[in-house]
Amino acid sequence: MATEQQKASKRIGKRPAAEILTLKKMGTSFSSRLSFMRNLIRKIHTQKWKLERREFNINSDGFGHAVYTAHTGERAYSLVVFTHDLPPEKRTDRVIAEAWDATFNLFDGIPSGDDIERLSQNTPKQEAGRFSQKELVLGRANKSLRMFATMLECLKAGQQPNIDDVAAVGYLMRTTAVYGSGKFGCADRSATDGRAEIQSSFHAEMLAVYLFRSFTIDLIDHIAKTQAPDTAVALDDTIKRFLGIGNSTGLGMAPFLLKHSKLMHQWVNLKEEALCRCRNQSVNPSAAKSKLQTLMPVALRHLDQWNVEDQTQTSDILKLRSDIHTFNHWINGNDTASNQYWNDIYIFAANNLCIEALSFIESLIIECNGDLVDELADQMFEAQGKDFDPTMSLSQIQDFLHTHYAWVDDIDFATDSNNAMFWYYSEEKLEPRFGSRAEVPGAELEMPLAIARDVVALKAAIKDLNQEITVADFLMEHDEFRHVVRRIQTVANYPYGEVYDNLISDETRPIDLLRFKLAFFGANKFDPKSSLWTRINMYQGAPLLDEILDVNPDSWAYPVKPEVNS
Amino acid sequence: MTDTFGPVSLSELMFFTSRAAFGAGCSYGIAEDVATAAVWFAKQGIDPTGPLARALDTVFDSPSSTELQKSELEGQIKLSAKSGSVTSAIYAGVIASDQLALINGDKNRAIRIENVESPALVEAFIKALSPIGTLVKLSASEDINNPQTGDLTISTDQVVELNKSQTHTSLNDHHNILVSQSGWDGILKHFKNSLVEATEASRLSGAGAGLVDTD
Repeated sequence: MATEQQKASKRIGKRPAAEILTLKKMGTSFSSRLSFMRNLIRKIHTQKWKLERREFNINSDGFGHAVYTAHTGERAYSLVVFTHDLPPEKRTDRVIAEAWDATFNLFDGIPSGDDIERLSQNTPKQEAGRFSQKELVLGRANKSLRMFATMLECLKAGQQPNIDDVAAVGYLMRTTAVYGSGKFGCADRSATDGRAEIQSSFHAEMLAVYLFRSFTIDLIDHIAKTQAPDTAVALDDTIKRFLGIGNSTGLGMAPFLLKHSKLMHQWVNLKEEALCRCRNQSVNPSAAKSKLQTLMPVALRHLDQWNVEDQTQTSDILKLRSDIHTFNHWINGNDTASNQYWNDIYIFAANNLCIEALSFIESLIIECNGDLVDELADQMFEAQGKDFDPTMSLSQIQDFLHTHYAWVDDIDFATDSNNAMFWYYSEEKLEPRFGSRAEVPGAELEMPLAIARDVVALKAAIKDLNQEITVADFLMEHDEFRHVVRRIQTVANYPYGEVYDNLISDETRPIDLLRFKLAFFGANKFDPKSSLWTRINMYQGAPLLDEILDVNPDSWAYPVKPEVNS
Repeated sequence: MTDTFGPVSLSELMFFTSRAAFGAGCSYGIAEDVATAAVWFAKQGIDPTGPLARALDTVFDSPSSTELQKSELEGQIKLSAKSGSVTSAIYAGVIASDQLALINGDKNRAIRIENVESPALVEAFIKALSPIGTLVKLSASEDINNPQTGDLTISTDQVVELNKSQTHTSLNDHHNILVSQSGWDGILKHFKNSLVEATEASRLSGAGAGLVDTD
C-alpha cells in the first residue's frame, strides 16, 4: 500500500511556466469559469446583489443619460452613462478618437444630481476630462451601426430581428476603452482594497461593462418604443441574452501585462492549480464522462458559430473544430475504467490535438469541476511581496538566470529580425504602439519590454565578474540593468509572471498577449483585425439584469445562437 | 489661474513620474524607483512634483553626477560623485538605499554621501525605497522644497522607530493628491521627452490602424 509520501510524489504538478507562457500558447487561450466575468456573475447571483435601473433620461433619438445601480449588500456601485450624437467622420475605435456614441463611469455609491452634472462635463471628454475618487471606472463605446440600425427598424416594425443577423455581430455596442485604477484622476485600485466584492482583478471594470450591456439592450427597446409607439415590440428575451458587449482591444494591454508580473503570476498559478486539482481528482469515470458529454454538444455548436475574417485565425478555428470533433468521438467511444478521468482526457488532448484544441480542453475540464475550483476565482489579485533584493550576489542571479531564463540563449539578437520591433508610447494621446525600428524613428525611447534582449545583455555583463559581488555594488556601476535585475528577482519568486518569448521579433504578434489577457477577462469569439488588435464579445449569453438571481449563473460558458426565427 | 493641479491619483503619479525620469535620462530601473518614491511622498500627504522635477532637471541638464563611487573606511561607506561634482539626489537616494540593505542594521556602520544636491530628498528616497528606511537616523535638515547642496550621514546607531499606527493611518488616508501646477508642469516637461513623435509610419503601428468602422 502506498505511503502518503508516495501518493504525494505521484501527484501531477503544475506545468512549467516556460511551457505554457510562450506567445504561441498564450495566443490560444480560452476563457474559463475562473475568468473575471464568470466569477462576477456567480458572485452577483450567490450574494444576491440587487441590480436596478435607477434613472433613464434618454430622448427618442437615444440621447441623454442613465444610471444603473448594483447594491451589493454593504455598498452600491452605479453605472452613469451618457449617449451622444456621433458624426460619422469621428467614428473610430482607436485610442486617438475624440468622440463616441456612449461614455460612462462606474461611480462608487449612488450619484447625486451634482455628481451627474459634474460627470456630464467630464465623462464625454474621456482622457481630456478629470475625475475623482468617487469614479472607479471610465469607459466609452461605439454602436455597431449595422446591428443597431437593423435591429431598431425591425423592432419599430413590430418584428424580431433575424437571429442570423444578430449572430453575425453579437452586440449592439462595443467598448473601445475601459479604464480603471486611477486613470485621469479616478480612484486608485488601492482605494478599494479590502472590498471583497470587487477585490478580484478587474471586477469593477467587469461590473461596469455588465451594467452597460443592460443599458444597450434597454436603449434599443426605448428608442423603438418612443419612435414607433403603435407598432414597436420589445426585443425577445432570448435574443437579448445572446447580445453581449463588443470590445476593441489594442496594444495597451501588453505593457500592463508585462508590468504586473506578480498579478499575471497569480492568474496563471490559480488556473494551473485548478487544472491540477481536476487532473489529480479521483472520480467515478462514468459520472465524469456523463458530465462532459452533457457539455460537448453546446461546446461544439459554440465553436461552429465562431467565424472571423482573419485568415490565420480562420485556419486555426477550422483545425480546432476538427480536433474537438476527434476528441468528442474519442470520449464517446472510450469506456475507461480509470478514476483519473480528467487526467486521462488531458493526456489524450496533449498527445493528439493541436495547441488551440488543448487550450480549449483545459477550459472544458475546469468547466466541469466548478465545486473543485470556483473558490480560486476570488484569489485573482496581486500578491504582496518583496521584488528587489540588493544584498543578493551575482552567483544567485546566475542561478535564477539558469533556472528561468535559459531560453533566451536560443535567440540571436545580433540578427535584425530578432530585434526588429519596439514598443513605445506615442505623443498622440499616449497611444501604445509597436513599431519597426527601421521605419519608425524613436527606438531609443522604447518601453522596457525587450526583456529577453536585456537578459542576454545582463548575462554577458556579469559573466566574467567576481560572482560574490552584490547586486547593490553591481548596479551602482551598471544602473542600466536595474530594471532587468528587479524582474529576474521577481520572476524567481513568481515564475508565471513572465512571457517566455522574444517580444521584439519581426514575428511577434501582440494579439497573442491580448488574447491571453482577454481570456482571463472571460472574453469569447476572438476576432483579430490585425496582429495588433482584436475584437471580442463580452457577456454573450450571460443572464439578464432582471433574471440573474433566479437562473443558473454558469449557463453561458459556451454561448450559442438561440433557436428562434432563423 | 490656480497654482494647483489635480487631484492626481497614485497611479497617475507613478506613471508620469517614471516616464518623466526616463525622459530626463534616468535608466528604466532608476525611473521605477523614482515612481515608487513619488507615491511614497504622496502617501505621506506631500506633493513630490516640485522636488522631483528639480532633481530631474539636474539629471537632464547634467550639472549633477549620476555616476557614484564607493569607498569604505572604518566601517563607514562613503558615496561620492565619480567626477568630483555634485551628486544627483535621485541616484544618491537609490544607491544609498541599496547600500543600506548591505549594512543590514549594523549599528556600528554608517553611510556618508558627500556633496549631494538635496540631502533631504535623498532622505525621502531612502525612507521610500529601503525596507529599513523608516528606521534609520538621518542628518539632513534643509527644506525639501529649497534644496541646498551638502553632505548626508545615514546611520542606524540611534534607531528611532516611527509610530506605526500613525503612519498606517496616513497611508490609507491619501489615495490622491493635489499637486502644484508648476511642479506638475516640471514633471510633464520631462515626461514629453519619453514619447515618440507622431508620424504617418508611427500611426500605422498603433492598434486599429487603417480601420474604417462600418460594422
